[in-house]
Amino acid sequence: MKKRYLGIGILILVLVILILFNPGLGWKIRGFFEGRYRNQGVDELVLENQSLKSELLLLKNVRDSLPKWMADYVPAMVYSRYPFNLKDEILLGAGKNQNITGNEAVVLSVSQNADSLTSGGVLAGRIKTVMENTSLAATIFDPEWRSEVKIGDKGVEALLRGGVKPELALIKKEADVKDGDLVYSTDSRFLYGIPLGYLKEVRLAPDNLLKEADLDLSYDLGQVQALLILKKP
Amino acid sequence: MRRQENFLGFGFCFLVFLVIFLLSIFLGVYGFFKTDLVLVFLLVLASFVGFWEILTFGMLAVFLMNWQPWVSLEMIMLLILPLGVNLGHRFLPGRPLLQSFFINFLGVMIFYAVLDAPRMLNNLGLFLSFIFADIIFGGAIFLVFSNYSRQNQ
Repeated sequence: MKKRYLGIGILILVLVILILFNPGLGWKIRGFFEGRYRNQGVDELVLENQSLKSELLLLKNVRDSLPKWMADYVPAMVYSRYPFNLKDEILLGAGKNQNITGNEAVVLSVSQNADSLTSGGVLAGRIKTVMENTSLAATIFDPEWRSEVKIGDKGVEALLRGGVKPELALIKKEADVKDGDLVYSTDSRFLYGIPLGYLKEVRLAPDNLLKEADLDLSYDLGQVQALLILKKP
Repeated sequence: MRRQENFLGFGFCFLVFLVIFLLSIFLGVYGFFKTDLVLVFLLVLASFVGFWEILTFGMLAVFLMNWQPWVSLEMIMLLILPLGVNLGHRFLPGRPLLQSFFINFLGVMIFYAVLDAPRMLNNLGLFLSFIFADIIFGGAIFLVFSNYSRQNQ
């Protein structure tokens, strides 16, 4: 019996040490099973995202018609993801030491080669909390996410409501929008015109006074291994 | 429920923990929804094992589930709630399975209420849908533990 409790005591001690002094090991174990952890450099991972999600390139073509922006960026590894419900946050491998201050846009790169990483991205989240070498970002899949967006060439205004399936709300009933229209961010916290995805299943809202729609995303954030944090100009 | 304690071997509990941990990951990645399987596992296990065993599994869960460089409120709750169940479950009236349903419901509700009650209320539909799934899942784990401990008595 004494041996049993000695074993348990040692196990608890080891776990306390790991939790306090090497939390990264736990992230790596989870990341490994999630199929996210790879022993590669962050730039390689950004590029791997692109090859895995080639359909994102479609957004690049449409983005050419949007206002041009050239932002400095910091590539960051996705270390871990919030493991419970009601929140969707990710831990990124860049923080104060990389000049991240908070509220920066977090984007998934859609460019084709490493030389043009700054040429565009799809908005995936926002930096919420910044630590020394890491930062927490809320994603558009968080149920509390709200941001201003515009739809299509006519720039119809809408509100993006986050969630497991992000939705677009408060679209005027008479607005000329249709499935396949590009949705882009106009939120004042971020650079103007970062694409988000396409409009899908436009319908009348339950109140019959406005329209709402789903946001068609061509990527799975759970599989993304690295993202870009766009620095504010 | 008290009499069932200590009939679950540490190895068996560890094996079930690993299966549930992996299941929660695969459901999150491939099923497109996140679950509270590990929390529910700990809440159920707390009625079957002793204080030190549940503390060990709580610490293991914190180590594997923590997603930040520091220990967050989520992780503290993940550790404290099963310990509370371990100390208090024997005072609950009723049949063990019903106790388990009640413990899981209360445990998950307290967990989210302490973390962010306004967020829980703002997303009540979502919350009710996964707490329902958690209770069903908790009942299934309870039956597995209950049968196993009966066989080993």
